[in-house]
Amino acid sequence: MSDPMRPRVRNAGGTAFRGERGMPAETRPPGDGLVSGQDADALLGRTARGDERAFEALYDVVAAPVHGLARRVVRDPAMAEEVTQEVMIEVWRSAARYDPERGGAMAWIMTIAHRRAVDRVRREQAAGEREARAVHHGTGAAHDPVGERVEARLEHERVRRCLRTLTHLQRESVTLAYYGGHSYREVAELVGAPPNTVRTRMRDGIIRLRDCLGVER
Amino acid sequence: MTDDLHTLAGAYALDAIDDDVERRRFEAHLAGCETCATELREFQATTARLGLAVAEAPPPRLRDRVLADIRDVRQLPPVSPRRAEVRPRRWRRTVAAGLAAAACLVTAASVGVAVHERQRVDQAQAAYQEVAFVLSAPDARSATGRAGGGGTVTIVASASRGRVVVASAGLRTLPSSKAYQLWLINADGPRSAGFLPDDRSRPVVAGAWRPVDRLGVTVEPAGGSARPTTTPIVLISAT
Repeated sequence: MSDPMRPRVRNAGGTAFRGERGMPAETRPPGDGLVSGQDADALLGRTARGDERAFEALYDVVAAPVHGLARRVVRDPAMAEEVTQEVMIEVWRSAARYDPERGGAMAWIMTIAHRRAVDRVRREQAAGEREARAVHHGTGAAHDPVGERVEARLEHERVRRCLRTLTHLQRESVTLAYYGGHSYREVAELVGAPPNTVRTRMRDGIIRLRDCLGVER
Repeated sequence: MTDDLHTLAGAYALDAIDDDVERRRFEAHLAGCETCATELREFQATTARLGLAVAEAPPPRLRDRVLADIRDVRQLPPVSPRRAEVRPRRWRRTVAAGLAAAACLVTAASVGVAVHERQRVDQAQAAYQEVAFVLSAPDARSATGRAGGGGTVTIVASASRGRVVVASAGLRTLPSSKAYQLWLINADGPRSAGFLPDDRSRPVVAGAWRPVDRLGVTVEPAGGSARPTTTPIVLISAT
């Protein structure tokens, strides 16, 4: 597979490659995860005390990761924007509920973002809209403007490298779920493996990623 | 922990469990398993990195919209931090069932909320936060009572929060002219604490709860009664 972050069979029954065309020109570097992580911790603390300027600065740190993730998962640019907006408002609302002892601010925000994006996809699926829009594409589409744009960047490169250390099934299980917004049962369908195997591979894959990325334990 | 639940941690961190029952089982398990909670935090920090790697700035107009929006959004109060540390072990087990029940109901409550109905989303979230506010109290206690006529009523009560969360399952369906009314009952007599919602899957939070109070449920005319007019189908004490 040319890019481990681009799940090969992602578009099975999905919205295909709606998001690939016309990338916005203002795509900006994700920045170094650690630096923005520390920024985010401090800014979220101030946001919790109602500091709107801190929230503004927090927005500048986290909006691109949140939006990029939403874009990956929901694909539709307008929906991705809505999800980003919802997530940022939720961050403002719940800032005081964030507990630094339970992980970094960035992880907290990205967890909210992913959940929102996936909820959105599942609701769309339930509403049948996603199927109605689905275009059946092959597994080609190796060309990835976003990927190429950020490829040289540090975080992208690290994650890419670490994803390569996973077995094929681990990698597919993790990326189809995370970037594709698929449930483990759907992933099992897509890769033709038993659901129990897939969920085990998801856990093993994340453990391997965690160790490779040096996520604090 | 069972292997079964253990292997779900990865799928959970990836939001890849679409079966509500299964997700609730895992969440209930988390509430009582410190090592699992730690593992999940590491997993979430790991998956966050997958997200950071695909960052892509949103259009500038979104920034203005969000900054304008938050002026109209009230921030939630904090919940007690370090609750995992102060929470006695025994409590965790007792409340796990209640937590699972309530979490499940909360999930059910937020499912099916129309996407564009911002207000309803906010209401569901507010309800969720209110429930979480009680469940997260260090002194939260849970108890379940079996109702005469079938079904169960579970309460999670906190003296420090002064509130009780009431959730039910499997209660007999009432005609539209009737409702399940809640009562807080102590030596001074009963006080009305509202109703179980028509959408029986939703937990409700009743205020002004004190440790001396028991929770009773009676069948009343749909508009409610000033005092119970029937025998409680269930009476639960949280202490």
